[in-house]
Amino acid sequence: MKSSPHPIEQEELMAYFDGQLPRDRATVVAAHLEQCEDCRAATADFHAVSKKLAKWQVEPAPARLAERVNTLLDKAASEAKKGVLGTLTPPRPLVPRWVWGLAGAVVVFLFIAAISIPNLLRSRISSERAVVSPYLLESAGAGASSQIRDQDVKSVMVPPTGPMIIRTASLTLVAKDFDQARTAIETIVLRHQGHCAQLTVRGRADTGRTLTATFRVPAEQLDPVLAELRTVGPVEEESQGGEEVTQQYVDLRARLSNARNTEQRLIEILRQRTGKVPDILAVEQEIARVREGIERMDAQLKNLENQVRLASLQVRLREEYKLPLALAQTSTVTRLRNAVVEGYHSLVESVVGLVEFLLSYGPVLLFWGLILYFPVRFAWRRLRAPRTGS
Amino acid sequence: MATDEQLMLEFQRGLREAFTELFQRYREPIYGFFRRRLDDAARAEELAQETFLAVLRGIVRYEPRAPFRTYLYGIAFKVLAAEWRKRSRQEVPLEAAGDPGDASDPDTALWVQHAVGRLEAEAREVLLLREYEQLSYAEIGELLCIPVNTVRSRLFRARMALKDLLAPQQGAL
Repeated sequence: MKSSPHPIEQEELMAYFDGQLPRDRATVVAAHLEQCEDCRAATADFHAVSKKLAKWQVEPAPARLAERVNTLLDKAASEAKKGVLGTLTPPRPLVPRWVWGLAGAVVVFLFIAAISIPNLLRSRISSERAVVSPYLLESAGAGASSQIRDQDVKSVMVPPTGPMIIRTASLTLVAKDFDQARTAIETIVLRHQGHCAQLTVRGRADTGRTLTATFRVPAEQLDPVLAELRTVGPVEEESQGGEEVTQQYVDLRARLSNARNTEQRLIEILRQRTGKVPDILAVEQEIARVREGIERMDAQLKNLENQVRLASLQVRLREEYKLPLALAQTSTVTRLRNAVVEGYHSLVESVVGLVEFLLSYGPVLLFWGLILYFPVRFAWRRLRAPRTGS
Repeated sequence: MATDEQLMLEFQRGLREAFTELFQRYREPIYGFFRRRLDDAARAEELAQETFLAVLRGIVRYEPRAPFRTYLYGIAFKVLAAEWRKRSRQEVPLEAAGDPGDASDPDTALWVQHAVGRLEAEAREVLLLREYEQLSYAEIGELLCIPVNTVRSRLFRARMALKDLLAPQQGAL
């Protein structure tokens, strides 16, 4: 085995000797060997080493080994018959693979359903509203409320008098004189026939105070009120919104009208009293049910009208507060003490935050961990399996 | 003649004779595998038995995705590793299999055994698998989780070292 340069590497020569070269390469090496004495000598060396290694032969396996393995085989066969060991029976894993597949499919389905069903319902409701939404007369004619969709829409439609919009607005103001600003706000609202629905004042008189209030003002007065409120102090934040409820309102009125008609017809039936007692009782029960529906819809209608008539105005007033100049210097001991207290609070906050996180997300992580643990472990083992063939 | 993989599948379907045939084919090679790596013949026999028992128990999960020979030697390797862990040894105890002082004749098995025992562990394992278990380079690579080129270089290194170690003047030292 000489190390002189050759077109064939010695390792490649060895692979040829072991029969481990691809056919085309083996042909090249064979051709080279016919011409190269050194390589033939190297191959002879490989052969000599293998020949010497062949001298190391171990004794034959004891006969006991065959007997023992046969015993094991008998035992496995008998256990297989009893169902103890599935060695000679078709594979029967603890959890069949199709169960894993089914579980995975169910998880995926639930995930997709959780995302899509709310959207589906939303779109369906809106489409139903679009069908029922034609503007209806109060006297919708004969037919129960459930038959509205089947009625001649043209006969019950009426153009709306105007869009019904629930208006909302919010305004954040800053004032140097808190009390004066508060009085001004309340005066403006009252002057425009508004009223206060809720009012909260926070903070002491010697610190920066805040006022949070919700006012209800007539919708047509909202813009003048806002214009006047802006003069009270600098506006820090302002927003306005409007939700159109025309279709919802007309739909509700139509259903209410139909329900009233139904109630009238039932009352007429009751007056005639041509049926048997059970029939009369059934009619009375139906009247009670329809009446309940009428009252509920009536309340909804009034609430809707009220929301449209009165706009909701949220006002937040913040007092511009200037911290007085502190002449007395805080002592070092006090500062250190404060630092210790703050450190303690930070520690407590961090512990509480960690516990909150674990309580909030722990169950979810545990749930998904339990679901995914076995499939992932199964897949991991499958990935590692090819090395041993199982 | 049925291949090893076919025999395994037949055994999986319940044909006992298939396993008997496999055992006949691999009884000596598996016993030799352990015997060349352990100094205790009785223990080698027990480990060979354990290997076949593992094949028996693992038949339900067997899939012919790799040659049966690789599968079988893979099990044997795991059994051997467990044995080494039990003995708290890291090296193959080939040196303990005989007294080197008695191995003065380069033509005896003891001489060869002693020379192989002096090889570095990684190269020695590749050499044993190639020379005695007759595994291909690819099978050895799969078994030891190393590339085929590494198998080739380690085997070449082992043979180069053995060429010197098996020379009479080296063995007499």
